[in-house]
Parts: sequence; structure tokens; C-alpha cells
Amino acid sequence: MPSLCGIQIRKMDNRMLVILTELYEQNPGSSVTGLIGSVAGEVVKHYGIPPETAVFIVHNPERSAHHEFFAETFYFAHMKWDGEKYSYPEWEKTGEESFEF
Amino acid sequence: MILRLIYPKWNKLEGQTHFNLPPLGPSVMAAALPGDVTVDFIDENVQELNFDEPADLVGISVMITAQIKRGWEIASEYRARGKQVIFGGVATMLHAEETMLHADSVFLGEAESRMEEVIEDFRRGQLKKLYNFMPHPPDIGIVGPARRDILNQELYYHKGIRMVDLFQASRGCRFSCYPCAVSFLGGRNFRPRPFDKVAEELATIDNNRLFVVDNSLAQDRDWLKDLFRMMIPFKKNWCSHTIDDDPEVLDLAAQAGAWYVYQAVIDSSDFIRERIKRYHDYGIAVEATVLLGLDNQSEDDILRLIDFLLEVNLDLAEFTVMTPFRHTKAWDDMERDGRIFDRDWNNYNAGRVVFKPLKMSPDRLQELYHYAWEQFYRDETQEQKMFKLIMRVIERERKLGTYQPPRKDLAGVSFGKQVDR
Repeated sequence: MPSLCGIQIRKMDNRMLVILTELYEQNPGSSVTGLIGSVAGEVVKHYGIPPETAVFIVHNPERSAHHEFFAETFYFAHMKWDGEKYSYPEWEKTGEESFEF
Repeated sequence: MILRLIYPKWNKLEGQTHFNLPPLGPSVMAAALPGDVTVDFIDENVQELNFDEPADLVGISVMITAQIKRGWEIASEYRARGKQVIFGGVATMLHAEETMLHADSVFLGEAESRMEEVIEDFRRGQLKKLYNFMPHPPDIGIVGPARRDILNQELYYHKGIRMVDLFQASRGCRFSCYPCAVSFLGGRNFRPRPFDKVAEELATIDNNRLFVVDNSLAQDRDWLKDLFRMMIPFKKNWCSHTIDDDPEVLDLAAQAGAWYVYQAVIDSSDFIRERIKRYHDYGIAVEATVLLGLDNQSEDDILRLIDFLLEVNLDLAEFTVMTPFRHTKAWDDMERDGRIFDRDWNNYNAGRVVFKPLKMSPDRLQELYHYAWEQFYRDETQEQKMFKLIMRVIERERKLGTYQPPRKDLAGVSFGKQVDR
């Protein structure tokens, strides 16, 4: 299923921050969270980012809704790189302040 | 060629009166098959499955997650007997990668205009491992009447009373609700069927009582009004998900036979109280669908909610626990937070707690779920409340001249099994 997400890449010291943003209704397919290993692999290949320098952050923007489930969140996705793809994601909640500069 | 089409059984909600409705998905799929395919349909919820009966190809149609593992078991049994097995349906789309490990072929998407290719591939011995049509839903205008003739209708009676038939006037949903996977299932766009097609299908259904299973009847007000105007002459009575809360729409819905609606109740607000009252003002009964264990709910909130439900004169209520189904935002959020502790899909029937709630323990949420059922039905059982709803519809049918009395020959039968009257 074709899927869409927002991508922002920032250089920070010797790391490359890759911020992947969920697009909710604008995404016809799977979520970034559901496809994190594949998306991350595609991004480093497409943009020529050395995998060992990449730091992935999944951004869920706030959405206009009655419920707090749609509050803005940021998560680091820590994954293992096997030379071809990323796998075994472990998630760590974070805030925008941790990668603002 | 015989396609043996199987609808696997699943464990129903604890505490709820068990009813089996004639499934729609297999009938819709059957309507898309080439005319020379004979469909032998088995609903395992009401029939025994005999693996030795003839089949050229086996289709397994799964709607809900709690069916998927049983579907895999059935596939394994048939594949051991040398039969090829293809999966389709909503739960196949939600669990596609896992299901590919248990199937010869997996079909994703909607069946219309696609089944000729699948059957032709099978006949040539070249069934593909995957048919993924999710990105390309068919033109809604080609969706014809479902083939309800594949169902053994006598199995969908409870003590002589016929269950509702499922019917769909639109597909897709423009909303994207937290616990719902419809938006992933290619359903983000509201796709109403042309009215001539809706009318054609309604005319084929000999049941006066329907369940309009559209994801929401609150997506396009003008379309909805036209739909209800078109439905009035058919003199059906129907239940549905939420209807747009507008006086003209509700008036037309009532004229078109709105019998009762499923209204999500997630808090004890005046908004909900007033909405229930408005439905009642138009003679439409309300079954609350109550999701317990949302992240903003404390134990006290749930206890207050149960009290509120008893206060507001609801006709029925159905309680479920929050369940993080695959491809929902609920799944993503809980997965990232490491809160999902049970990945046995058999337990994903919305009656078992499979995640760590934010404001109470899983065990406490499970207790509150059972408490909610008990409290709501403590003075009048679910069956008694349903009987009242049936009496309402009978009264309407008598006025309309459409009443069909219960089948006397099935008075001692419930979903194909003998029971006490």
C-alpha cells in the first residue's frame, strides 16, 4: 500500500536527525510507526545518509479533536541496522526541545 | 468449479446475549465472482465445518481480528489436504503479512471487478501469493446487490425471529477515529453508492429488518436526506451507526424506518444526554456503544458513566474495552509506549483487556467491564430490553402492513440449534 509521511532532515553536530511526521487523513496507507523500519531504511538510502549517524524521530502532530489522544508527541525510534534495513524498534518519548537548535 | 467460502467462528463478548447475523462480506464477494463459480458458503458460527466436502478452491473470509487465527487453522487443515486457500476480508487486510504465512494467496481490497482475474489465475494453476487492490478501490457505481442467496437463511433465526439483514449504502469514512481502522482500509473517502443501485439492492431483500452497516450516517447531509427519501417507499425498519444530528435528517430517517441507532457514549456530558433525547423525540431508539479504558478515563469516570447510562433512558447498551487493533492510532500509540501485553488475536474481541490502561490496572479495567454489563442490565436483562425493541418494530410493521410473524417451525431453534422455547 503506498504510504505518505512528512520528512525533515536536520544536521546536528555529527548526527542527522530524521523527523518523520504522521499525516493522518492525508496518508492513504500505513502509519510511520507501523512501517518505521522500512521508512527509515528508504530515507537513508534515498538521501545518502550514513546509517550510523541517523537518529529517527516520529512526530505525531496535534489534531483538532475533543480527545487528548491527538496531542502532539515525539518519539525517538532506536533501531538496529543490518546493512540493508532497520529493525527491532525501541521507542523513547521525547520533546521538541531535545532536538531544537 | 466449487469455491468453498468459509466464515470462521470466534468467541463472542462475555456477558452479552449471543446473536449471529448473516455476514455481508462473503455475500458481497460472491456477487463479484464469475457466474460459473458455484459458492458453497459455511458460516462456522452457526454450522459445522466438514473438511471432506468437495471444494476446488477454499476462500476464507475474515471480518474481525478475533477470527483470524481460526482462519489460519482452517487453512492449515485444507492445505494439508492439498487444497489451495485464499484469504480476504477486513481482518485479512489488517493482518496481511502474517496471513501470507498461512495461505496460498491473500486478497486485499474490494472484490468488485477483481475476482475474474483471481479465478482465471487459479484455473491456470497460477494463483498469485498476493492480490493487493487496496490502493485502487473499484468505482462504487459498479457495486451491485450482494448475493444473499449463498446464505442458509434459516440459520439466522432465534426462536422463530429472523435476524436483521446487513446492507450498505456507502463505503468509506471521512472521519479517522482513534480506535478505528477504517481509514487504513482504503476508506478515507466517503463513497456513496448511486441511488439506483441502492434501490435495486433493497428490492432484492425480503427481510423487513435491516442493519445499515455504513461506517457513519453523518458524512454528507444532502446525500443522507436523499437516501432516506429514497428508502421511505421500501417500508423497511433498520438500525445503523450514528445518524447526523439534524432535525430534518432525523425526521426523514424516522420516516425511512430508523428503528434504533448505535450511539458512541464516551462521557456523561449534556451533549450526549441531549443527543439521546433528540433521537427519542423522533421515535428512534438508542443503543449506547460504550468504550471503556480510554486514556482519559479513570475508575471514577467509568463508574460515573455507568450511572449516567442508567439515568438517560437508553434502550440498550453494549460495553467493550478499548482494543488496539492493528493499523489504528491506538495501536501505534500503545506500541510506542510498550503498553500492549497480549498479542493473541483470539483475545482481540473487545471484551478482553490486552493493554495497560493509563489510569488503572488491566485487571481493574476487566472488572469494570463486567461490572458495567451487570449494572446496566441488573433490573432488566438484555434479552428483555431487546424484546421491547422488537415489540416496537412489530407495532410499526403492523401499521405499515409489512409484519411477518415469527416462524412457528423455528420456535424451538436458535441459530440452527434446538433450544428450550
